[in-house]
Amino acid sequence: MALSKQRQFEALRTVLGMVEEQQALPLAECAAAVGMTTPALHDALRAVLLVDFYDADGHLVTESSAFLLTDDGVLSMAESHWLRDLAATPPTAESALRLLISGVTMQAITTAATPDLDSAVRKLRGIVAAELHIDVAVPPALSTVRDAIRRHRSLLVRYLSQDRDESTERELLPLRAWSKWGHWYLTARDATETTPKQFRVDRMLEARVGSLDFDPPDDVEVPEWFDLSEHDRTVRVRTRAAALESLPAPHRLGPTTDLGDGRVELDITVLGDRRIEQLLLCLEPDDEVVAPPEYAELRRTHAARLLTRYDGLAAPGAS
Amino acid sequence: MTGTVTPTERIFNLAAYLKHCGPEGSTLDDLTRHVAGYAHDAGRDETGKLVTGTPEWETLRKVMQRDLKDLREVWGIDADFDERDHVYRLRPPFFTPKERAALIAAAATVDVEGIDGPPGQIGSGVSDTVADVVIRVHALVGDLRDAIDARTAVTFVHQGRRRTFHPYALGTWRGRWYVAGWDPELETMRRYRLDRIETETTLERVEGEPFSIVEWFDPDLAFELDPNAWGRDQLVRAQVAVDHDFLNAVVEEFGATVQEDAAGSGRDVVAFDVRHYEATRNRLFAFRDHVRVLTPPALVAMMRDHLAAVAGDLAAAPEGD
Repeated sequence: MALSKQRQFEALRTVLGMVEEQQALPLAECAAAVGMTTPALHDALRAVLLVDFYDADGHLVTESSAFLLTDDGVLSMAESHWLRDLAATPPTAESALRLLISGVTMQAITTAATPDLDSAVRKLRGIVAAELHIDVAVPPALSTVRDAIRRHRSLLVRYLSQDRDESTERELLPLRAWSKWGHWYLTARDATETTPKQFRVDRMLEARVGSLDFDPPDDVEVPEWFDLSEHDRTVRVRTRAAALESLPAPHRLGPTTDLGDGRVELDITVLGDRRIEQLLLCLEPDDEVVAPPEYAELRRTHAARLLTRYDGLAAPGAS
Repeated sequence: MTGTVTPTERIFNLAAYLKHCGPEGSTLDDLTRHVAGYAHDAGRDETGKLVTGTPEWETLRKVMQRDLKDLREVWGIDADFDERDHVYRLRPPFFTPKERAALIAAAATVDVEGIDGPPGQIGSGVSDTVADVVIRVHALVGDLRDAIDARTAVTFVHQGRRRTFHPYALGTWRGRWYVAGWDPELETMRRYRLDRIETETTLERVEGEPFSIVEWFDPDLAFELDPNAWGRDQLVRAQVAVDHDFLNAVVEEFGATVQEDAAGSGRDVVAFDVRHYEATRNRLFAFRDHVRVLTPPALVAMMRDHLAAVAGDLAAAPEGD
């Protein structure tokens, strides 16, 4: 059964976008993406593969070169597609917002000049019609990390792990740098180990390209998520409701019980021993640690330990 | 030629021909004569010219209008009819091919989760497995953007209280989304963290209550969320000793500058402005015993007093404070 014009357009628009944006794709994959059989998509593609005719002056009007179907069933595009080149309508507000966020982020993480991206972003700002302020952190070591990845060379870093008080020197075989959850990570294998790990790029105190060459694997996947649940640390406290605003981030708040005296009782969960220590110190002295009892003791001993840092400093007001 | 041309092919032929004609454009006569898929001989006189006002002319004109509508609505390709010259001309593209390529490269590198554009739009065809950066967009961002664009007030529940708000701008800070704007009840500029807005109570637009964004609104300032930028405590310049391994992190956290006279000691001294004492104290606690406030005395006292009170060590607390 012949496809309706609208259905044909829908499928072609999607496939055209996929192929232009990924350069080459098997026809079967494109067909699956638009819910068609491969022969049906092949038929539908004829309309864009063979735009080819003579005008009144006998000149050949052809646009077929922008979209090619190889004998082995791969759709490819050598350059941008002429149909997309002609699009005069701006993207929808939703698409513009998505593109603006990716464009602004790209501007922040790219070291080279990006005049085409800059002008595109200016146009997108006009469509989005709302001030958008994207804060992109770019750790100082990132450019060196990327350089090492590009050159397939090891990376020498002085690295400060979250749970350590001193940095360590490491030689890493860098595989892929990526950013998720607001942080930059490097998937890398320690030169002395066999299993890749994730390293926070902002914890690399120094970084330089090493001299060890290596062959990276073809495909290094970005983790979907980290299971950090074993690092959850939960404390039940009684505190002023207003004080919750100024707790150090990140943290998770449990349901609150109003104690009727301006205070609330609730569970607060943070990740790791370091963060629970910080949280306990940030509570006001008259806040109560309800449970577990060992956190009440930890709070006192940790405060006492830090207090020793101020031994010998002149008391306020002293000359 | 017309016998084997489908409507889809005809529409693409029309686009290609209009592109071929460029800024000079093309008349209905030319288009229907040369573009494959139209009835080339219909409604023409003995010289081959299309005769206006005839039923055949009207049919061709309607087919042309329909094809142009398809081009506009499906492909974003828009041809204007110039009433003076009686020609159809393509409107210039919104993005140049290079701009589009730059946006596609950006979309391939930066995956924006939480906003799904329709298939076929720029950047929707990239593979999300190759993206090196993933940015999660809060579910309220789209609705708030619409409200900002329409200059329409919104209401939402924030920490158990329903608030009316004039949203001016959206932004992120340290991975979290915020909306900045004017709170007409409090008569002040406010920022709200979107993940603290109760989404289950939904965001509602207050129709019939339009607002204007005040001239003095500064979006950069609005998203300067460092408490030492917006705090109301008396401005002081703090000097803090930092163990060398923690120097980068402290500089990053506080925007601090490294004091030159500390080099070579194994412990550096940094300086930064403080406008929010309590937040500064709490942030310094993240660095445990690797930092020590040196000056000013008021900040030193605050650190000492707090630690002493928490430790229950009243002897360490200075008298009179």
